[in-house]
Parts: sequence; C-alpha cells; structure tokens
Amino acid sequence: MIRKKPRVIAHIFLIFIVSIILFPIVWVVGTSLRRDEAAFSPKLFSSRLTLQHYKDLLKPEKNIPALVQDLQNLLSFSGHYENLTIEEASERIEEDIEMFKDYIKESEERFKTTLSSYERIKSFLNENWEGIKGNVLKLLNDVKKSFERDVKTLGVSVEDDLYKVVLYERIAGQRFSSKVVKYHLKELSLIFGKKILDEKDFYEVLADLKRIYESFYGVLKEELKDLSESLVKLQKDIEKEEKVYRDLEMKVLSTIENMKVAYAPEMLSLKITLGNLLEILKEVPESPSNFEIAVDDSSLKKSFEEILPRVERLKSYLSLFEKMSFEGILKDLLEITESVFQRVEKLTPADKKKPLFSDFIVIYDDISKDLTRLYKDLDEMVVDLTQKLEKLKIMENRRKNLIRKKEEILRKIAMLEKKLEPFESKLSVYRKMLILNEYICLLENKMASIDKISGFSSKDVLKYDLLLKSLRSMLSNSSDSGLSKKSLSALNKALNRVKWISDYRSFYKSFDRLKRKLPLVFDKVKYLLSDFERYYPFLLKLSSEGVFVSSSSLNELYNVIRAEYIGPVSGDLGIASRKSGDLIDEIPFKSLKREFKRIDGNLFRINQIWQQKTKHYFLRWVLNSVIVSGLVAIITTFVCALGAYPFSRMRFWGRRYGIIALLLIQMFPAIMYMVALYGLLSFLGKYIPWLGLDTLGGLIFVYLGNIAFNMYLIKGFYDTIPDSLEEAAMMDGATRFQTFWQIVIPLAKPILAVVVILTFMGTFNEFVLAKIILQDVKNYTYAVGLWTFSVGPYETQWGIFTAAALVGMTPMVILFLSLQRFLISGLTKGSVKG
Amino acid sequence: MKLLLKIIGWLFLLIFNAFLFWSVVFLFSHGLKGLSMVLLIMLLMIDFFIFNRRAYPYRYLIPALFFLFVLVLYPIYFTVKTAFTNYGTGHLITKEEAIYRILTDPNFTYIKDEKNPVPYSVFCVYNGIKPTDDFLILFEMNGKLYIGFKPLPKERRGTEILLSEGKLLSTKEVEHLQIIPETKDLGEIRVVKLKDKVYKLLYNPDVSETEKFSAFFKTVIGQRHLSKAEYVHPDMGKIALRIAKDGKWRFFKVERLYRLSYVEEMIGDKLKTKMIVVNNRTGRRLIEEDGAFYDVDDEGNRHFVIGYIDYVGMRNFERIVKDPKIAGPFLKIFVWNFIWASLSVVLTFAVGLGFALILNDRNLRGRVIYRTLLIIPWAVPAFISVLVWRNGMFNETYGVINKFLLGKIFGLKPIKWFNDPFWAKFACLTVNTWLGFPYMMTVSLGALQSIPDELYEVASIDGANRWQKFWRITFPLIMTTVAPLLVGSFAFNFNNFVNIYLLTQGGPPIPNTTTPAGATDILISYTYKLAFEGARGQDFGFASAISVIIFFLVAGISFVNFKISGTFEEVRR
Repeated sequence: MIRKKPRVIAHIFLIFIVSIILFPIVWVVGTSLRRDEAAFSPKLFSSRLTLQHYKDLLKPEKNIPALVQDLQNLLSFSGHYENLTIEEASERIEEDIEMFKDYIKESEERFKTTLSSYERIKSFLNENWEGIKGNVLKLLNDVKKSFERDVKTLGVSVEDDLYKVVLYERIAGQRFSSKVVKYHLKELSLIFGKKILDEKDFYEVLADLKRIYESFYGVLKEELKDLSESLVKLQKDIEKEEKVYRDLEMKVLSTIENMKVAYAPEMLSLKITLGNLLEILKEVPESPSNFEIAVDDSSLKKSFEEILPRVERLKSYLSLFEKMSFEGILKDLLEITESVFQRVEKLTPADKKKPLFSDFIVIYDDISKDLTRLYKDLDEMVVDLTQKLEKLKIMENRRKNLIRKKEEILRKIAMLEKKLEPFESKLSVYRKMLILNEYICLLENKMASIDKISGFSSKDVLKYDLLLKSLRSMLSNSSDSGLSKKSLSALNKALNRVKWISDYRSFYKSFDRLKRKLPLVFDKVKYLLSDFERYYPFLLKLSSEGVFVSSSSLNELYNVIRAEYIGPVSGDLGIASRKSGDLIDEIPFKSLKREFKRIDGNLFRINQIWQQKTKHYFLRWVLNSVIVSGLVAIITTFVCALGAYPFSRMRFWGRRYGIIALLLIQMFPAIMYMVALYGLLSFLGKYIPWLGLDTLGGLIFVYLGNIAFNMYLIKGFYDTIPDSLEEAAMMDGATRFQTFWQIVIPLAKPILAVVVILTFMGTFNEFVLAKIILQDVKNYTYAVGLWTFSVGPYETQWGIFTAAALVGMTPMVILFLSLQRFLISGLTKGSVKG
Repeated sequence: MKLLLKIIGWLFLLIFNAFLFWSVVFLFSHGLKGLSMVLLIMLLMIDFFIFNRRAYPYRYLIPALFFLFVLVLYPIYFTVKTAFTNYGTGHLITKEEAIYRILTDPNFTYIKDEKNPVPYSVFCVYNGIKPTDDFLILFEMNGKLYIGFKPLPKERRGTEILLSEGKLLSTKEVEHLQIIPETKDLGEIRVVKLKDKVYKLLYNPDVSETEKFSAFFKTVIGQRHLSKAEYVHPDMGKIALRIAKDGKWRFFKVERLYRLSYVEEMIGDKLKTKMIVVNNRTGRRLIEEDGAFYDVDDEGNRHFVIGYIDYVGMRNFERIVKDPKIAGPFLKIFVWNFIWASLSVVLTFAVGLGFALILNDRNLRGRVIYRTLLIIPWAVPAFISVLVWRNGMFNETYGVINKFLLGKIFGLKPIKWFNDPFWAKFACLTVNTWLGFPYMMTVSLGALQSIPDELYEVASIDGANRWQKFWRITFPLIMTTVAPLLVGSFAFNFNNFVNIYLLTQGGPPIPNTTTPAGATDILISYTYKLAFEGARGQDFGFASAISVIIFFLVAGISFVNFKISGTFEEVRR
C-alpha cells in the first residue's frame, strides 16, 4: 500500500522559492504604482498609490507648463503651427486658455481642501495636547527609570575618590556657567557638603578635586602625554634620516653600476692588449739582437710612476668589490698591469735595446694614455666610493641610535600604560556612571520643561523637537555610555514614538510657507492669463504678418512658473507632501491619518499640474514596434512558408545540403553582421531615403534575414501533412502551385500562426539591431525606448520606467503563456525519441 | 484571360530583370562591388530557375534566397573582407571616392585674397513682409556688377549634395533686368526686377539697416543653399561664402586646394606614370600613407587631409595577438566568454533540472500553477528583465539588493555590483540563470516524462536509494535527449549580447588598454563596442576581424552539436 506523503516540505520550499524568483516582477508592479520617489525611499513598498505614471505614459496630459509652451508656439506660428490660419490659431488659443483656467481652478480647489484638512489637524492636536504631553512624559519617565537602574547596577558611588577623578576630568576646563557644570552641581554639593552658589565656591571645589586627581592619576597622565609627544618627534627624525640614507645608498649603487657599464668593456680590452704585451715581453730576452735601436723609454718610466701607486691603492680596495662581477675584471687588469711592470723591471739594458722592445714601447705608448686615464678615473671613483661608504656607515649608526631611543620610549610608555591599566578599567566604570548621571539630569530638565507645556503651539512643538534631538544624541553616543540593552530599547521606543512630532514640525513649517506663497502664485498667474486673453488677438494678427512678436504676459507667465513655482514653492510643496506621507504612518491618532492622506493626495496632484514634465514618445515607440514587428512577421512567414515547401515535398539537387546550410546559418545571430548591415543601410539610405539608417523601413529590411529557423520549423510541419491530398488534387488537374496554395497552406495554418506570433514576439523584443540602426528618438522601437528610460534623465524615475516595462511586458507574457504548449512540444519533439 | 495573366507575368519578369541588372551596374560603379556580384549571381540564378523546367522546386525559394543572399551571405563576405581593411572612422570611403572628394568638395578650397572680399547684396522675393528663399545675389567685381542665381546641385551622392553651382553672369548679359535705383554703387541698390519678379534687398553686410535680416540670411539662405555652393564665372573664377575675420559672412574668391597630377617613377625596372594629388597653393605633393592623404605645411608638419579604406592585410589579426594592450584584454575576454557560456549552461541546467525533479511528481497538487509561475521569467522579454535587474535590483546606490537585502536585513556593506569585476560577473550569471532556468526546466520536464516508471521500480527492488536512482537512471537518460539542447544553449549564450550589454555594458573597464574592453565583455559585445562605441573612433576593420574569429568558434561548436545530436543522419532520410 503506497501512502501519499503530504509533500508539505516541497510545497513550503516551492512557495518560498517562487516568491523569491518572482520578486522582481512584483517589485515592478509595486513600484509603477508608487507616488513617492521609489529610488530614494527607505521603504521597499509603499501604500501611497497612484496611477499617475501610467497616465503619463499613455495619455500624457498637457499640464500648465506645456500649455504655456503651446501658447507661445501658437502665437509665433512656429513648429507644427506654421501653416495655421488666424482663425484656427485663435480657436486653439481659446481652447488652451480654457484648459488653463480649469487647471487653475482645480489647483485652487485642491489647495482649499488641503487647507481645511490642515486646520482640522491643527485644531485636533491643539485639543489633545494633554494626551500628547502625558504620553511623552511617560516615555521619558520610563527612560529615566531605566537609566537609574543602570546606575544602580554599576554599583559604585558618587563619594568614591575615583569618581572625583573622573569628575575633575570632565569639568576641569569648563566655566561655572556652562551646561556641563550645571549637570553636576548637585553632585558637587553632595560630595563637599556645601552649596555651590557662585564662581568662588566653584573654583575652591575645583582645587580640591584637582588635588585628588593629581594624586591618583594626573601625574602619570602628564608623563604619558610628554612621552607620546617626544615619540612623535623622534619618529619624524627617523624618517628623515632614512630618507637621506636611502638617497646616498642609491648614489653609491649607481656609481658602481656606472663603473660596471662604462668601464668594464674598456678594461676588458686593455687587459687583452696588456696580455699581448706581456707575451711580447716574455720573448724579449730571447729575441735576437741583430742590431741595436736607441730606445727612449722615459715615457714608459713616467707612465709607470703614475700608474703603479694607483694600482697599489686599487689592490688594497679590491675587497670593496667583493662578490661583484666587476671584481674579476679589475683584479685581472691589476694583475696583468703589475706583471707587465715587473717584467720590464727585470729586463737588462741590453734587452732594452732590442728591436722587439722598441715594438713593445710603441704599442705601450699607444695605449698608455688610455691606461693612465682609466686608472685615474678608477682611482678617483674608488676614493669617492670609500668616502661615501664611510658616510653610510656613520649614518647607519646614527639611525640605529635613534631606533634604540625610540624603543626605549616605547618601553616606557608600555610600562606607564600598564601602571595605569587597573585604573583605567575601574575608571571606565565611573565614566559610564558620570555620563549616565548627566543623561538623567538632562532628562529631568527636559521633563520639567515639557511639564510646563500647556498647548500645542509652535513653541511647544519646538520643545518636543529639541527633546528629540537630545534623545538622538544620547543614542548615538551609546557605546561610550554603557547603556544596557533595556535602556537602549526604552530610548528607541521613546524616539520612535516622538518622531512624528518632529516630522509634524517640518511639515507645518513648509506648509505655512506654502500657505503664504502658493495663493500669490495662483493670483499672479490668473492676472497674467487674463492679460494675455485680452491682448492676444492683436499680437496674433501682427505675428501672422511675419512680425516677430512676443507677449510679455506669456513670458512673465513662463518665468513665474519656472522661477517662482519651481524654486521656493515647489520645494516646500515637496517637503510638505513627503512629510505628510510619512505622517500617515507615524501619527498615533487614527482620524488624523485620513486627513494627512487627503493632504498628500491633493498636494501630489497640484504638483503634477504645475511640474514641468520631460517629453517622451512612448506611444509612438509602441506603435513603431507594432508596425515593424507586424510587417516582419507577415513577410517572414510568407517567405518561409513558400521556401519550406520544396524541402518537404520535392527532390532536387541541394535539398540535403540546403537543410544543413539552414541549420548552420541559424547558429549565427544577426548581431554578428552588424557592421555589414550598418554599411549596407547607410549606403542604401543615400539613394532610397525610406530604406536607410534611422528609418523603420531599413529596420524591417534588416530583420528579414532571420528565416532559417522558421523554415526549418515549417518544413517539419509540412512533413506531417500526408502527400495523398496533393496527389489526388494533381490527378484532378491542379498544378503544383495550386495544391500548395489551396491545400497545404490552409492545413498548415496552426504552424503559420505560431510562426507569425513567434516572429512578432522575437522582433518586438529585439534590441541590438534596433539600437544600432535607429538614431532619432521619434523612430525608436519600444525596446530601445525602454533602454533610454533606464539611462539618462529617467534613471531614477523608477515609477515611469517600471510602468513602461509593465505595459510592454504584459501582452508578451500573456501571448507566451498561451502558446506554451506549442512551443514546448516543438522544442522537445525533435529530441525525445521513443 | 490566361493569356493576359501570362503577358502580365512576363512583363513583370522583364521589369524585374531590368531593375536587378541596373542595380548590379549601379552598385558596381559606386564601389559596392561585392554586393553587385551577389546580386548578379542572384539574377542569373533566378532567371535560370524561371526558364528551366527542371528547376521548378527552386522557384519557391526565390524570395527566401533573395533575403538570404543579401542579408546573410553578403554580410558574411563583407565582414570577412572588411577584416582585412582599415574601415572605420577616418577611413570610410574608397580611395577613388576620397580623391574625388578632395577635388570637388567645397571644403577643400582656399581663399585667394583674404583682405579683399567680394562685395555683395542679397535680394529676395517677399511674401508680404516675410522674406522667402527665392533669392539672387548681386556682386561687384572690377567695377562691374554681376548677378548670381540660386545655386543648383552639381555633384551629389544619392541625396547628399556635395557641390552646388550658381550661375554668375554680368548684368549686361541678362535680359529683362532692371536695377532700381540705376547706379553702380552696390550699397545703394534696393530693388532688382527680373522679368516679372521683384527682388527686394534682404541683406548686405555693409548696409546696417539690413542687419535685422542677417539671421534669416544665415539660417535660411546661407545654410540651406550657399553652404556647399560656389558661383562660377568663366573669367572671374569661383566665389564662395565664407566667414570673414570680422565675423560677418562674406564672399571671397576661392580656388581648389588640390589638383591631380602625374609623376614618373621607377617601379621595379620599368618607368611608370603614377597619378598623384598636388596642393595647388604650395605645389607640394600629398603623401599617401596608411590609408590617408597627408599634406605637408611649410614647417614640414603633416596634416591629415582625408582618409580612405585601404587593404591592410593581416594587421587586424596581428594586433589581436601582438599588441600587448590588446592581446591581454582579448585573452581575458576570450576566456571569460567560454566560462560565461559554460557556467550559464551548467547553472541554468542545474536549477532547471532541480525544479523539474520536484515538479515531476504526479502527486504534487498545483504543479501546473507552480510550473506556470516558474515560466514567467522566460516569458518576460529578456531586455525588460535585464533592465529591471540592472536598475532596480543591482543599482549600487538605490538598488533593492544593496539597500534592503544587504543593508537592513543582513547589515552588510553595499556591494559595488558594477564596479568590481568579480561582482559584475556574479551579477551577470545570476541574471542569466534567472532568465534561462525555465527553458531548461521545461525541457527537463519533457525529458523526464519520457523515462518509464518501471526502471525506477526495478531499481527500488534492487535496493537503490534516491541518489543512486538519480545518478544512474535519471541523469544518463536525460542527457541523451537534452545534450543537443545544452550545446545549443551554449552556442546561444556564447553570443548572448543582450544580457551582458544591457546589464553591465561590458562591465568595469579593464585598465591599461587602448580599446573599450571590460571585465564582463564577451567577444560579441567587445565587437559591438569597437564598431559603434569606440571613443577613438569606430574601428570596423578590427571589429570584423573579431567577428571572423567568432564565426569559426561558433561553427566549431555547431559542428560538435550536430555530431552529437545525429542531425546529419536525420537529414539523410
């Protein structure tokens, strides 16, 4: 007996996963309905809903700024209105003026509604001031009690000496009149048993505290400070030394490198020459002396005298170049030079008269200059090098000294810190107590001041606001004050419950400003409009004659809307709107929630009427997409239906390879030909304007290359239609084409419908080629248009972006889901065997 | 009736043939030799199909073949050909065309005498008080008055007008001409009457009361009719409108900057004459090098004149391999392309198979609902989903993931999704998995359903646990049916431009490279950026070279796919 497991786990898992996977879609729907700026809101979803985004997309209304622009265009007969007659223009101007007046009326009425809501809110709050005060006081009391409990758990007393140390730390630099001192006056009186009434008392007490502080703690602290300062200075010195050291080291290294690179080759060649000379010298004693030659070897002697000491010196410094390849070359050279000299010494005067010796001298003279120079340079360099190395050594020692000093200081500091450690940990407890006491004192002050509140006027609201600020600062310093978790949560609770008052304050402040300014704007606009209404016929007549006119009232209107509305008014309206939106959730009184909602809605609508909206061509894009996709779908289906027929029904050369070629071609997406297609269209566009770049005709043409896949699909379907029908028809005298047209095509309607819809969907969603080919905004398809919604000015206007996405997404999804069966069977048909 | 249809048919065929033939010649003479050859081949094939009885089946293929040839075969040929050229910004026209342009385009002229502009007055017909663009111009040269009519296009390239010429005649040569007032002083003339038309003074830069029409002159007449125009008189030479040093628009005598000339050179052993271009003003020969013409000025500096498409051999391919600033990023992109395609396939398949296994249970209630819900990511058009993910989810500052998921729920720091190469790749893979798993799920479901249950029962009897049943029965049997689809999915993702480009535009840029390569770029998005978004100009040649490489790669993958799926055998039937 097989029991059916309840599959609960699977269900739970599936529901969880499906909600995560479909979250983006849900988010799109939610964001498209939101009234606030979704990108900047801290909330994931919002309850303030509106259909405004959809309206903006599908039925953009000509709101006031657009009307002003329109009137200006009509007046100057520019743009679309170039060829209007005076009567037509007049008519349109009248229509626009009517719309304008309606908008103004609507704005005024809505504003009146918000005003009355506002009054109601104010009076309600004024009536309930006691309840509000009571709540706040209760919350503050809870916080205070919690703080006091914390102080108790700390377990130390105000009378301890360590507390006095901490207290001194806190008030040492303060004046008697400062807030901090005031917080601790009570404690000071308690500790010293006398009342502190003025500065003299304060300074006396302070001196006492100072003594205690120093005895425990102060001295050590001073030492620590001094040590730290000298440490910093020392560190700077060390760094300086290191830099100089490094520079010198670099110079030394480069000198050595120089020697290697510049002199090594020369040394090598001289060494070889000297080697040859040595060979000659060895031969001299044995060489024949057939005739005598007077030889002048004075230059030789001079050269010897110059070079020999250098050789000696260099030999002694050979150890400098230990471990460098340079060493080898130098050593060889020195040795060979010495050998040559020694050999010459050994020669007898008779030898010196031999011709071979004179040859030797000639050769030697030739190189003697170079040799002398070389040795001179080497000598000097070595001397310089040794000097530098000495300096380096000195600096190294200095540096080491400094480092030693630094380590000593560090050690001293560590020792001091260890001495202070037990203090520090104890002191931290006292510090916490100090801060807690301050907080408690602060709370008591605040509670006292709030207790004095007897209404809900702006002064009172300000008090609440200041209270909120203090609470917030307490919270932000919570790490230092060691508040317990309970205190923190009490503090948070108080903050959250009181926050609405602060929001209310900013709300009514901006609303008050709005109350003053917006009616002024309305009045001014009404006045300017009536002005324009009276005088436009004259201006219109002049304009139609070609005179350039401009209506000053219109210009002024434009300025008013742009400058006065946009600037101060719209800013305040935005704040008021936002805050009232927040207050809907925050305010603790149910009846007020409705009022705020009303305010929010009306202000939003007023803003929509007066706010300048950027122009978009959404409907046009959708139309473009539909036209392009439709035409492509129809033409492609026709071509493919026609072309697939012979593959299915006839035998001809190239049938097999044709199918393979088709399959191969469908592997290369059109994107890969983008360069060629771009070039092709740009060429075509010069001669056939509607078939070029940036035209829908060109785009349609380019999409028609996608036939391979569809032909394969249709051929597969043709294969399932039996031949017999056609054969029967042909026996009755029909031509092949007639059987195709009248029998096969009707039977193939299902697959043709699928191909049409698939191609339509595919073309509708195609983005790449459309983006390459289309350039003017008005020609974009829906896909490219949506792309522009997500970059550029609309990047954070998520409302309109998601609304546009949803509008395009929904029909496609519905189409797709209804075609599921066809698609799936088509895909798996070829692969499932058996 | 039948006869009439037949005649119409033949007539249509004749017109069609004539049109195609004319296009072949037209394209050939305008430099698109490749396309003209393609059309010629097609023309011959179509005629063959129609006139040959035995070629009946091919007639059905004619429209399909037309589109295939023009939109698939020709682009392939063109791409391969371009891969060996330097086609791109600065090199967009053929050499002949380039020479033609520098000889005819009015931009390549110089002012003969800057200090002495030709005085002129523009007159036009007025509609009431509004001026129209029916105009003529009076010039004064050598003390005589000349009249210039509206320039007519002389040299054009399709709808683009390269050069317009206006007739310039001495006032004595024109009949029915009346100048009011009768004076030789150009500045005094107010009206010109030609036959019946009355032309009133519109603008003269030296007559201050006409200043208010200077804007109209500049925008309507100047830019529309005079910007690429010259007035030509056989004795007086050419006059054209230029901006003078005082900012006003004046007419100057101009002359062509370049002319053709011949030079004799020793090429090999033979003495050959070569055509060269010479600067008229300096007499220097233009240097032809590297796909462009260069002029040399007095100090010996080179100036770029015009560029043309030149055959550069394997240079584009060599650049990929040899240039370190390109080879490095190219290799990275290449490797990432493979990794991206493989990981996409593996991840989507794993997730899809997982869901398929769960949903394959007949006893699970509501599985149709789950399946429909899970297909939605596939149903939503890809570009919409990617844009939503890009803007709403992964946006670094405002995105849902950074703000809510990481910030509020987990309290982590926000991740730089699009500025860190690793996270950008992660984001791409996540989105691609989200988009692709429903397809794999559907396919796996279909394949799972074809596995008979008896196999599982027998395995249970033999004591196999769930894991073994999966690995030894389910997985192998699924793979036989799904393998070709996996390879197909690999090929698809290999060239999946949309997902990558819309999400990251190729990702954080790879530093130290001269081309716009990014960390999440795949070959095809790299090609696109090179061809259409290069900041240093569009390099179609290089982009085509990469396209050629992609061709071979995809062809290889497809070949493997076909071998696996046994498509070749199926076609043999």
